[in-house]
Amino acid sequence: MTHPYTSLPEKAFWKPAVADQSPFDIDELWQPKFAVNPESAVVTFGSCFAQHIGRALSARGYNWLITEQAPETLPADRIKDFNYEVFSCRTGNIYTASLLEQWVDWAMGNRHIPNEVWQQDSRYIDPFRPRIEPNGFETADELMCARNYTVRRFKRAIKKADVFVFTLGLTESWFNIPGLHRAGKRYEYPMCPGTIAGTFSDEQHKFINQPFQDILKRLRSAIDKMRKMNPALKFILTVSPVPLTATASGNHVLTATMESKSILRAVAGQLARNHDHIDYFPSYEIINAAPFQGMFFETNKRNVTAQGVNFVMDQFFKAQTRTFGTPGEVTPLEAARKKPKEKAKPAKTEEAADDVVCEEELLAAFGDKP
Amino acid sequence: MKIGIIGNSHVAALKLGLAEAMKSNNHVSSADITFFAIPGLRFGSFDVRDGKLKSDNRDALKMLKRTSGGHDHIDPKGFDLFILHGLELQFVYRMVRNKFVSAQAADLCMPDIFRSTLSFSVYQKLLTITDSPIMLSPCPMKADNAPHRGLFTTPMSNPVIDYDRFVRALERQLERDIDGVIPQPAASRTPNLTTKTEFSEGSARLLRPSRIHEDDDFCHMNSDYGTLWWHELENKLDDILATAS
Repeated sequence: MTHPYTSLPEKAFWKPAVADQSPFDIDELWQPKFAVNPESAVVTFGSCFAQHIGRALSARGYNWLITEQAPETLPADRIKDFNYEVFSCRTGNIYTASLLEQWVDWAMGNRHIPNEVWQQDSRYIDPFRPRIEPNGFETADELMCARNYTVRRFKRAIKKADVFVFTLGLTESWFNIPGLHRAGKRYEYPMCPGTIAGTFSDEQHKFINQPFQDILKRLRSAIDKMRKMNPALKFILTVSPVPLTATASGNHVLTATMESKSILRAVAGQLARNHDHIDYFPSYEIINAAPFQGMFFETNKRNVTAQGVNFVMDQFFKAQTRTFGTPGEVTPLEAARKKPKEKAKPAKTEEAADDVVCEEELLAAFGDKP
Repeated sequence: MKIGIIGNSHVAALKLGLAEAMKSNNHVSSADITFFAIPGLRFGSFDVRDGKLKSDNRDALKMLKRTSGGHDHIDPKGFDLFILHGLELQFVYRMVRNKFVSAQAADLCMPDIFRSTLSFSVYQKLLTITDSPIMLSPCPMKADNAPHRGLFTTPMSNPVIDYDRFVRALERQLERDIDGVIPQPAASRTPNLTTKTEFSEGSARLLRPSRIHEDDDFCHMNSDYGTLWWHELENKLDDILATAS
């Protein structure tokens, strides 16, 4: 007698696929829909965990596309302080689907970029990227120039990428609400005003714990808009395994975390099921599932260890290799030889060329003889 | 006061503007000025030997003799002041053109940019052989009508990064209190971080008529610029002499 389960592969059964395995041998957690080759231009945005994906791609010689490069001579140990090479451009963390859509709308010119800035002592903090610049900007004008520039680089990332990796982080969000704040439409902050900087206002700022349907709608909308700019763009969604730092939902932070992550996981799953150009990579499960017994968390039970990140990314590259036969890894030497597409060229200065061209002028000024 | 001006092709404007400047600048007119000018980057071939700057590069020596009145090396003895003019030291266009760099980041980036220039290389060498003050004088900014808008005169993306900030960053890199910076004269600058067109026009007439630069030189300046530059130096000399006394 046969039934549908008799023909299923081993990975479909808990005992052989999980219970009988060492956690490190649990395999085939992901069946990628499309190939990510070392040549594919991959951009990464989203919640904190997305930062690891970009670095892992880069370390393995993949083409992590960075559209907002650090200035050439910025000291290497300060690059991260200025949030270069954290995501593909300096958006800062994009925790929610609605915040992603906000950035997409700014890039497309669909939505006005608010002119709100937060002043702290004599410095200026960007409400949409509160930690983007150490100690904030010198002036509000400088801040706005910086923000507008990043919006343009974000647009470039969308247009130039082959694959857009987005890590969903939160359902809880903070908005500036137009009904309460007369000017302009509502917009979203990545952080509650007043926590890192700014001033919280009961009248102006509203907490919304976004439900499944809203997040699904916003994420689908953001993806559709990006595909209008770049019809070939593919998406890999992940859910950050990092628990909430705090919740404003009124629930215990642990249950709020589980609810939030479950909703995000369901949204990502639903989109991936319904669209060929959207895939879901289970980094969340690899870190959080019970068989891994929390071994990939640091002692604060929140931050993911380097070992955990490596394990997750190994799964990513192994799955790609298994499915498409593409090189999952390149040697460090090969990685060093590869040049990221938009790295600034260490060009010789133009002034030297000018001088060579014009050297006769000097001699003429002094006449022909000593 | 004996002044040695070390530089490259940009020294031409100073040389040509000197006569006019001497009419109205007391310190400058009474100074004993020697030019040590070699076009391009050939000053890179000079090393410190026996307490002097010397080179084995025949082209460089030939040009040094021509511009200095016969010297085949630079002996710092007897000089009260050295000025390094041009020699790749210029406003940080390349760092800020076509992209946003914050003022904080720019402040961190500029030292490496300065230190990679020929000007700083010569400065470091001079420091080992003279106790006299050394002043750095950047190349003039590109003329405002330069056509290479994407290269030199792209509108700056950060309103906070201006010429004064560049000069302050440069001053912070000097190794001694007695050293200083001679900024491009304010009257020659535009708000676009360029040089007013009038100071670039006419520089072609400095050449033999048959070998004019046509209209494609936007980085070298004319004698009017040179005159203005000497005024700037005159003000600096007031400070230097006041300190010395």
